[in-house]
Amino acid sequence: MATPTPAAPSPEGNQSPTEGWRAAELVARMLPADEAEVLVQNRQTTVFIPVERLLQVVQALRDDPSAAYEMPVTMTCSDWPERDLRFEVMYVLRSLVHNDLVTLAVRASEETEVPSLAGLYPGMEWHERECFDLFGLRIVGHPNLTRILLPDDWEGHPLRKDYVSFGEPVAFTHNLEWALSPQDRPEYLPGAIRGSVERS
Amino acid sequence: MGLKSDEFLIRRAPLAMAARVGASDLPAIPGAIPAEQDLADAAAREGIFSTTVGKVIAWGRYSSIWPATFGLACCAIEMMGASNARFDLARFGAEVFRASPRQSDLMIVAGRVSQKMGPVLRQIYDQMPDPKWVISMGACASCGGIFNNYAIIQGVDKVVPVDVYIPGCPPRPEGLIEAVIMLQKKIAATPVASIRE
Amino acid sequence: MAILPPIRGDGTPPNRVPVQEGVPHIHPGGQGEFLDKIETGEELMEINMGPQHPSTHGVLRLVLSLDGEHVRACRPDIGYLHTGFEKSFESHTYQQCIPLTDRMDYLAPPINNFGFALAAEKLLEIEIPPRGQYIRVIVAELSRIASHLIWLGTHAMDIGAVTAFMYCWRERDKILDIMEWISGVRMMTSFIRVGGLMADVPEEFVPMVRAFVAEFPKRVDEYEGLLTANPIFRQRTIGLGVLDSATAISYGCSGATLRGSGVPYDVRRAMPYSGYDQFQFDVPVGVRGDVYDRYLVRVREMREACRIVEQAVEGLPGGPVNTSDRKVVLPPRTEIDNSMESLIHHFKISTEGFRPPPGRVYSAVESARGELGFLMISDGGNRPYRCKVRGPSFSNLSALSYMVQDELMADVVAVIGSIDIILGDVDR
Repeated sequence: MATPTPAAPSPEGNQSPTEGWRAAELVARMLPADEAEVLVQNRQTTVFIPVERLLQVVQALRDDPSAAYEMPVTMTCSDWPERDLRFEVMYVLRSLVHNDLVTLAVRASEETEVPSLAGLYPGMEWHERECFDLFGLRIVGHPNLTRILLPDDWEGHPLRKDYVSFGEPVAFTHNLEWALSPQDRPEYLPGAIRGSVERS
Repeated sequence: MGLKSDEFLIRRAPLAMAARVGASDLPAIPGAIPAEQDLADAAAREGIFSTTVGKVIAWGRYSSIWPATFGLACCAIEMMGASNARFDLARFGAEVFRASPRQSDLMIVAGRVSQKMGPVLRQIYDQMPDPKWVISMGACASCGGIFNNYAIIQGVDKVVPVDVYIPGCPPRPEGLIEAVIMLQKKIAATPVASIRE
Repeated sequence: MAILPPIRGDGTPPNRVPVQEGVPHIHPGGQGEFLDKIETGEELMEINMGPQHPSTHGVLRLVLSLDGEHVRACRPDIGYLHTGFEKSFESHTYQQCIPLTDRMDYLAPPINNFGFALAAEKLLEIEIPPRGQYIRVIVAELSRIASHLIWLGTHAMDIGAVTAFMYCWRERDKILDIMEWISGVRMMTSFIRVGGLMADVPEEFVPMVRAFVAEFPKRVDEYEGLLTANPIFRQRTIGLGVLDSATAISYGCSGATLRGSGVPYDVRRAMPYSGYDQFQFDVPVGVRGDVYDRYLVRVREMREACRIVEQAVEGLPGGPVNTSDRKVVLPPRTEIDNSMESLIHHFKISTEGFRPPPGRVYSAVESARGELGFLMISDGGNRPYRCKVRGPSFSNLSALSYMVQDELMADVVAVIGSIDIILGDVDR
């Protein structure tokens, strides 16, 4: 990951501006410098904030007319299991008025209680349910935090890195003993079965 | 349709044979049973044909199969294409796609079946009255397709019994038509146990 | 069960916007007062619609709370087509992910490929030559037309006009013929790949596209002649499922669902990609935000897409279609015989694929349904570390419960059709 830059670039000259600079400036005004990190990559801005400031910052991003991020685009997590705060919760917000896009990121562990943005953006309700379903993110203040994509009685959270996703072993001629159960194994490929026994 | 003409005994009797009614290679013996050919010709001219009840029932069953709408994903689009004007599935009798499984006899599982959908699939299959058949359309329905992961049931034959499998991702509409024809041959070859069925 | 919102008004059906002067309008027979007295009650009946249903356009389950025939609450239950795409992306190389993306929005597969390829190309920081960009635009717009044709056919069929279903497939089969000609596959083409295209288009491509573009506007006139001024269609759709612009934005709606409510947001205009800023096209916008406006917006979008295709095919430049970066795109076969470097590139790409530098990007394209976004995070390996797909139908569908509030149960089908959802995008 690129090293985070402390200040947000403003539009200058003939270079097209970085997307999301308005959010970076607003967050820099609101929060002390050690709480907010700004990452600029591929001309897009990601602003890292602590989880305690999430509601405050998002409310300001939505309501402040200089930022006016009124459209919730998406919300997701990424899982970095080697870190203490393994989840990186990302909220992508769009400003139609200013034609701007920003990613707001919050680091959380499995036990961190992340406040729900469903009160600010009704569209985030389903996205938060999906993060809960696929990652097991704990979200508080959500009107209906239940599984949305998987059956209600599913165990586990598939998009975590330690969840092994596996449907069925694929049976080739060289691995019939391993892939198929005894009654499914065909009788007519003696060479293949013999070959796989030799390898093991 | 693959049925040989001698399975159905409807025959158009050529005019030349009209003179041969009652005549055969054997000398005319009073009370002798006439040759089957001539009897059939005579009957056919009267509009009478003979076959077995099983064959007629099978013919009725396969000539007007009513599929249930069970389009799940991409294969459903090709299934819709197969029932449309260019690749016309209605030519083969499978025109009426019924929404209710209670009124249909073919379930074309068109698309990938997720873990949440599996019990629903089984319930719809159970709601269909006998005789019923299942076509598993596409790679995902047949074996899980390209999705070998936690979310997809690796083949609907783990849930319902399947009669015809169609490979493809998605299969062309002609592939679905081929499967319907193959199913029709299968139905024609299925013995019907009793008339009461 | 969620708390039910209060009943609006006095329980009688909401007033529809009156139709315009001069257009024939058949007044419905007066609603019997007897029926009204029976409908307004205090007990709500919960019924289940789907997942196997002819009109939910896929495996969507709705739990409706009905007061007589009026919907007081609607709770969509999704996940019946959850395929685990995002988990699968993490175990496939970037190029291997392209065939997976085909199957998400399966009515316009090339647009999914387009979005994924653009995101990966942003991570790789490579440029596509102009011919590749123009052909991508042509293929994407043709598949947008194909998707809108299915939408129109199924939407009209749900409302009752079965003829439109047959007519729309006639044009769609012509587009699928073009797709088959260039890629070998009717639907899941995997034609747009990271670094460019699968291959350059054959020489019959330009005449085929020209022939299609020449006669398509007349066909759209046919469809409009069937539906736009049809009093039955208008009566069934005008004033139904109204979505105001502020609510639409706060739900994250995009595409025709948002434009029908009057918000002129189109990703091709807001954040142009792949040369879209060089083409002249209008972005149709509705007024009232009802089902009829969304219908008009999409029909107009079909015409505009045809216009873009015409401009692109007339101005199609020559040159290569793939980027010249040999670390991403396979070198031509003749080069492999002559150059050791090309041989090594070919080997590396074929076995382990390319490795974008570590980084993250959010890249959006305008799919037929709205803003299709890919939030891609790379850790320097040959597989995406995390690729989140922002399906437009997911957000559009979350606004359904707002749109069918207090509508008749029979109109729920029309509203679902007007959002134009596809469950592959919703469930992924």
